[in-house]
Amino acid sequence: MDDQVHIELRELSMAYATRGRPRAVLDRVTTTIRHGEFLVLVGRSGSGKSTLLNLIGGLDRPSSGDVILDGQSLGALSEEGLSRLRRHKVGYVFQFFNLVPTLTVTENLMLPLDLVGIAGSQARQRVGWWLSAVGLDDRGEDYPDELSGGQQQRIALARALIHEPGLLLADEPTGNLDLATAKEVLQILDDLCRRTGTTLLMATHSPEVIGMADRVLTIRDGGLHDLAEGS
Amino acid sequence: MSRLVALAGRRFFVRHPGQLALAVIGVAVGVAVVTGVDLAGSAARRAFDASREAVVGQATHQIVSRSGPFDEPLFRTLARETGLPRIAPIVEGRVVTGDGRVLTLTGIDALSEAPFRNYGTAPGPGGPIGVLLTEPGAVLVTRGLATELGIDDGDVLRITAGGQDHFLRLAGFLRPDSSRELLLRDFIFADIATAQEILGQVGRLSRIDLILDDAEVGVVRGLLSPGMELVSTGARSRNMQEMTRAFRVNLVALSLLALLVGAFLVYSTMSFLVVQRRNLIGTLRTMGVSRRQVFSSVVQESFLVGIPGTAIGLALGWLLGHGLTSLVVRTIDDLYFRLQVTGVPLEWPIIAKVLALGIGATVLASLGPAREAASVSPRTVLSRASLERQARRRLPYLVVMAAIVMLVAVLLLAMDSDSLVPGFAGMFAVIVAAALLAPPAIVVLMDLLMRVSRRAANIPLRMAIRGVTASLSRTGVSVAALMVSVATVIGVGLMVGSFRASVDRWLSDSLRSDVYISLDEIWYAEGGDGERLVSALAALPEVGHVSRSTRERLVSEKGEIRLWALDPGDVEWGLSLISGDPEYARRSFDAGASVLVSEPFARRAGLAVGDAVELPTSRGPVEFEVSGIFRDYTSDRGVVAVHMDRFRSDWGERRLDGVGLLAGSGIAVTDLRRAADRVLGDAPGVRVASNSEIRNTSLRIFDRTFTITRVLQVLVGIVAFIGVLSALQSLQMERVREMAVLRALGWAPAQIRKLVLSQTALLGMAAGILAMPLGVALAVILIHVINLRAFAWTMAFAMDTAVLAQGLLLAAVAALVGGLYPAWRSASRRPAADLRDE
Repeated sequence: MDDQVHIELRELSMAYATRGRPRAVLDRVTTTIRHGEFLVLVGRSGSGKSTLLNLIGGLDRPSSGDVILDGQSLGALSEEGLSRLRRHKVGYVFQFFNLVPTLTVTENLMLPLDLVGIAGSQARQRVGWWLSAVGLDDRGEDYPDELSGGQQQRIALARALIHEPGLLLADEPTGNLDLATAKEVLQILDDLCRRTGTTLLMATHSPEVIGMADRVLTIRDGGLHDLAEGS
Repeated sequence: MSRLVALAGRRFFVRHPGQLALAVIGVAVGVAVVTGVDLAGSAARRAFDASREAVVGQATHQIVSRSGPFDEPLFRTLARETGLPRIAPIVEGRVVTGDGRVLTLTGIDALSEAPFRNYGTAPGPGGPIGVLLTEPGAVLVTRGLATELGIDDGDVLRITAGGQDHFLRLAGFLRPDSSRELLLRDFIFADIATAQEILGQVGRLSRIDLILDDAEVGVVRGLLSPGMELVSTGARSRNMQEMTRAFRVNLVALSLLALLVGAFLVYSTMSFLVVQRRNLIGTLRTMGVSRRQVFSSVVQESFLVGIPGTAIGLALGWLLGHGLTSLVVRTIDDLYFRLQVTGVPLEWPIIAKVLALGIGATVLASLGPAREAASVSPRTVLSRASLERQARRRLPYLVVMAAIVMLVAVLLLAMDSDSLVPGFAGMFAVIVAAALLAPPAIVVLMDLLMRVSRRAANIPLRMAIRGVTASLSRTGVSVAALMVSVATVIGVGLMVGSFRASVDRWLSDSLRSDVYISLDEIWYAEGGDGERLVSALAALPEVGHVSRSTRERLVSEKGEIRLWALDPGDVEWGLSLISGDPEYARRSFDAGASVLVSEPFARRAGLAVGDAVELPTSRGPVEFEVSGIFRDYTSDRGVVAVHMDRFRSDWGERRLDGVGLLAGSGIAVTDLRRAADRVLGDAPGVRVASNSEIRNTSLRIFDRTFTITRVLQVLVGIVAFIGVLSALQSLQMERVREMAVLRALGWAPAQIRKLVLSQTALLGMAAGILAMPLGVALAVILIHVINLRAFAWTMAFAMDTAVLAQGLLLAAVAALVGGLYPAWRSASRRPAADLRDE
């Protein structure tokens, strides 16, 4: 396999049962994504963007086909294996931040490190660095509900990247933010991913992201198309 | 597990202290009931042990005669021929003090007593026990009794026995430890010769106490003549313990039911905690937290509820134990024997048991929700709609599971066993099956309501109905918890009501005389003569008919047998036969050719009409034909009824305990009673009661017996109320955004309150309706399985609609009261903030 390939989708299909009848969301999707690539997924609501991200992150299993991540077939992994994979190799950012409300900002950032066994001064050092990187050095002891939406999303970004996952899956990360804040967050996201060499897959409706991406893919009728192929 | 994952869970409780408090209180009340009942039971048991120990001391065996006191030479023969060093003669009887107090006069041989009883007497030359030997008429009592009698060392004590006054001198005090002091307050100790003279038993003994090893038992038994019995004190003790066993088992079952309801509460609370945090769990899962970690996190959290809940429950249970102890002891006093409780100590075995049960039940109740939290995929956890879809999809499985559990329940209940364990297991299985059926039943009920309300076009009502089924993952559990609590209240209520109705009917059938006279030992101690009294009464013009009866306890190695000697005369005998040919039974009974046995006796001994029962008579064991089985609620151990003439010939006892008078034709009961009073005068030891008085007293005792049941019912009700409050609070937290949207659409706070209350009323109504069939099923099981196995009494099931209505009312009130706070909270929130927050 090409060393540059980070993710490979092989004949990936996904169907949901609606009123007892299967409805195909993804139909034999095949593509590769390189290490460090910034790839944007666009498409109408319900087109399957989130489904694709969930399949790549191992949150869901496809009806058929497979996802190969860093040469590892996700289909071959058990539930426990998928958990381990996410813990080490995947970061997630959601539209609704999903910070743990009962942990402080520092503890939220510590959480992924704790899960991969990084603790003590090394963990504290990393948390300090990432707080600084997202411009929230002074908010470490606050709880998420004491932050604005933009600030929460910045912490969510830091939390997704702090354990150096290599792959960041972002599902409408700016969907819940105003335009100015959204731009600010996107800039930070792009900057951090490029600095750390993280592959970024983002599902979005936001047109301003398209200019920042290395590649834009559209999901339409269950298929994955380069934007250049046009609508 | 990650420290931070655990911390995130724990902080959820810190941020929602109300939910934590409700869950903790739920467990605490459940644990308190179990602890209270356990403490009351063990206090009664300890009191019983202390009472037994105070009387029999260290004796391992006793020699008694089936026909009462026996000749003293047996003691000398045994002592001489066996050379046994530890053997003590005892003579015992009731005496009456000047102020009418009945005491037991115990005659002991001071030289033989040392190995048996420690009286804690003060040391001194000769010691007070020794004084009994040297000084005729000398007695010893406890200082407490002396104070009560107003006498001191050296004073004279006047007592009456056999109609004669005797003057005794207080030669000193017994000084037992505090636990036995109260018990020995009913005893006067004298030298055996003094006691024999006072009791009119010169040359005779009541019993011989012995300390024997296994080899000596055979030797002693070989020396006993027919009619004499060597009984181990352990067997007697077991016998008395056995008497109250069924009563205690029922209490324990009721307390376990309360714990089960408490466990349901924990289950529902933990379920809510899981569903409320589905976003958090989903986020953690996307970050790589494994299923096992989620599972153990939820289980660990259950300790946060279980440990404080159990600790608080233990403390509350200790307090409750004091109250319940007096109820238990009063019931044992009423139904079985007298007990003196000195305290309700919280001992380590009880603490350990309750800790294990409380924390164990909590952790067990959390396993389901923990499994649920861990089993769903992260994507599903994040979706609320999918959660409810899943709850809906699960409905057919719940029905199948309920059917399987119900089948197990039926098999357990149908098991041909006298053990209560399969009965209780079956009953609990029925409860579990009903709980599993609750969510599908809610859907059916709400669909029906929806159809009805469609015509009314009442949108808020339809929203409330829809809200119940839309949140089925939460409402299902809360309705199940409330249903179980209310069904318990209904079930126990119907059982007690049926039992009371059966007892009432039985009393009507059995009490055939108009006036009853009971003669106790004081009357005989005062020189009363039963037969002379019967003759005097029969001669009265107001008396149409006289019946006579006496009750005797026969002691045997197999256990105690209660004998009821009866001479009904030539009128109806008042025995309601449930088996046997009435005509033959009566004829053969009157001729002394057969006996009748009560229902519990027949069931315990496995007897049917036509079988033979062996009874120990003064002539040795004799077999009697059983010609009938009669209904009787006086004893759960059972009674054997024998004709008075046969009793007198086989047991040689001529005393009468009871005389029944039937008024002559046209004579009013009040006139009959007045005439009887004239004959009896004001002799002590005689009680006269009319038919209706006995009936009322019996039912009053019945009601007192079930006071404890009602107390436990109230406690179960409290657990139910806490369950509803907890569930509704969770629902309110869940629906914050929905309410905010309604406010944004222009709903007034009062409308929001109404909506929440409508929904809680619907939940209460659903729980109440579903609790009715379950309650009836529990009552049927309690009557036809549990009580039958515990007490061997059959009773007719009596459907009391008032009890069902009370259950429905309890469910509705619990739900409505539980809904007040959530309704107020929902209406008073700031919608803008709730709309902004995700």
